[in-house]
Amino acid sequence: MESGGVNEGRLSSDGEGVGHQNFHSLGERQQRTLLLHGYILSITSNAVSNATNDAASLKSWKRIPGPRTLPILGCALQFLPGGPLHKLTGYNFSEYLFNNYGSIVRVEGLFGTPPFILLFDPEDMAQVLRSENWTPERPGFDSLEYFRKKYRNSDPEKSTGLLTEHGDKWKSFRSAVNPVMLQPKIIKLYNTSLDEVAMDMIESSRVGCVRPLSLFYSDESADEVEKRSLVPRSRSHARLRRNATMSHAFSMRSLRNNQNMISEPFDVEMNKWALESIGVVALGGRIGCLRTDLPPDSPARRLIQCVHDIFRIADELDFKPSLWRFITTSNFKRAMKVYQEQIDLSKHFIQQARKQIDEKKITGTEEKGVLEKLLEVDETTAVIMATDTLFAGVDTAANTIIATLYLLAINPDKQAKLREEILSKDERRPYLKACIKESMRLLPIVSGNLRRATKDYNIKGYLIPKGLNVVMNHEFISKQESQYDRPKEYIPERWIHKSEESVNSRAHPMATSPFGFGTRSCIGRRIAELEMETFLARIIEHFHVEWFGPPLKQETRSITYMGSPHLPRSSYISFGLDKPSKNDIEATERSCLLILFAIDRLHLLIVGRLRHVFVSSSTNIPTPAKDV
Amino acid sequence: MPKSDSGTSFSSVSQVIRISTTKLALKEEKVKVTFILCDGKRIETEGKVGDTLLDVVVNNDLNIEGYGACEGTLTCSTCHVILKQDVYDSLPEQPSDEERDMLDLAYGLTDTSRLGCQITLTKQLDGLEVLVPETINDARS
Repeated sequence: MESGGVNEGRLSSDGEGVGHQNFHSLGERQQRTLLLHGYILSITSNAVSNATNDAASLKSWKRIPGPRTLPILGCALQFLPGGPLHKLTGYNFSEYLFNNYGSIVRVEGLFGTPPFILLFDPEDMAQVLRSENWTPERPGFDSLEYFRKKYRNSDPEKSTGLLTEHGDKWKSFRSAVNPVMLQPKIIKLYNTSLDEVAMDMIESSRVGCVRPLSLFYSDESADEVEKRSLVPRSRSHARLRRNATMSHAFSMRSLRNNQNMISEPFDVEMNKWALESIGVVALGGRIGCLRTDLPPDSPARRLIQCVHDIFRIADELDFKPSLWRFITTSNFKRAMKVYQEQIDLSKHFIQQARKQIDEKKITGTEEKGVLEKLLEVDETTAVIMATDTLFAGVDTAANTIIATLYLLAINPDKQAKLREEILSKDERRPYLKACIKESMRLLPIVSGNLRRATKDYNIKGYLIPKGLNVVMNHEFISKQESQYDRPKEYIPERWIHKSEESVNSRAHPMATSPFGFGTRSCIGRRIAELEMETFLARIIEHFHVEWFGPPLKQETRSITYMGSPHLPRSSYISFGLDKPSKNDIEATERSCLLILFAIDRLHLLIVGRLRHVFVSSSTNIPTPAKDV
Repeated sequence: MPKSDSGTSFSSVSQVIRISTTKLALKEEKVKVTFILCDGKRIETEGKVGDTLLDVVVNNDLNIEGYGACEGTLTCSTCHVILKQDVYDSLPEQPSDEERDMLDLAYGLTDTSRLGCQITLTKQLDGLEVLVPETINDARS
């Protein structure tokens, strides 16, 4: 807080918090701390200056109930062993807060990180989301923002992309990419190419039955993956990974008849599918990461690894207490390294794509990728958007698909119903959409939504001043009896208009909001939906999906990953061939294709919102920042 | 760029180019549209055939606060309008799944609600009157 006095003067003079120009004229450390204090100081100044007569009757936000706090330490003590919040994560953390403090809760940050106001009433969430819909501010990627704006010494006038911009800069970028990225009619044109990726994926899964040896990689290569990873992992994690690999190889050799196994970890396969799919849309061509001989050090594999690393490290820096804003911690150095690596790897693919674009200029029969369409508008925008797409579209879509497959596997009746719809070849497939929606309600990869208030609010009799961070707790509220009958069950029918289940729903329309609401909702939403619908339809058409392991656990690393390093390695998901095609000879014996769920690192999805863990036994140490 | 191992090449649907000249012939045809705001104020204006109601608001610079925030990308419901029953029934296109999802989020949803960005003006809609409901539940803030 050493620069507090100076900043407060600055803030009260423009009333808008820390403006970008002021920001860029400051020293590096000041900038880091300002990213942090900007929130708090603007809250203080605005609360005083903006309070209207009406507001005078409202209670101060500081009186909102919440865990007890101390100066500087915030509520850190509550999270230590013996404290009431110790080892509470995600859903259980929200549940504790809701049960103890009610539908509006204040959680102070640690080491001076900004406080959060958590909302549990969907009507209050709607009030904020609807009001913050013109140029909404969504903080949360602070270290990435720092990297893009300061660390890279970029031109302060230039936009850094949707993830890290706010205000008018964000708006103009968003307006440029909106028509290309979000228009349902435009996105549907990628249907054929995404289906091609899905079919390649299915075929490569089948190929696994007959060419087992080409699929698994050796112990040594598993070790290599560990070495190359920029983010250290536990030894048990490495061991698990090796064991998983070996058991794949073993199973494939000995159980050729009805239990052939794919040796690659399932999550990695799903990530390859997600990258290949998003590559088709973003770059307009095939990245080629479904190849069975894809070397672990190939750019595609490195990009997948890099995205994991980013989510993991951002979680450490931005959602757990970290001193990076004051001193250069080792995590901070790693973060700068992985952020740069992601840009470099994306550049590799973008350059390849641009070369192709130049070569094929005349043909023009294929649907252009987002990159090519945006290049016609503005080069910088095109490159930034393609880079962000290759980052945000991988783990997110992959983990949502894993969650959906898991839920369909443990609900065979729903799976059968879905299969019936798919085999009917009807063009409209409401149940398919419903299955994905319901999976995002029950196992979302992001737990909530975040807004930094751009004006004062009256919520539940409290004055929420401009500048304060407000968290919409969608995941928690989506699992409450107050909203849905039998809320813990997987019932896709809820999402079918006019079905009995939807009639029984008391759900507030804002209760479940997996892609966020309004102008700042996920830019990749339509692409993700189409990708997932296409792939899921093909899987259910071709395979019976079964799950033999213990209940799926989740782990939060910025977004929620399906699986945790501590699951027993015997858990797996199986894909029995369901509808063998005529030329599929080995399928006549209904050979079972088992895909070992390599638990160690199951991954998932989305931009622009918040994170949570769902299952209590996950071992993450909760922090208020992370859990909101 | 390496091809996938299965040897399939990238292909996709090419954009359909409109061959019909109908649109050109109608291009300059204008129809009258009236927006009735929640406070009773009437805004009478004109729109080209083929434009959406959102286009009409944007092109004529109509001052309807917060209208069409997501620029017609179907991610919000701020261009919500309420139609008369007969107009609602006469529209050639039913709301898509995407529009339905967003309508669910509209404030003050009715049975004849549509999103303005999805209603394309036709000659038949000349004299159209739409009600623009209150968009933000903002009374308390």
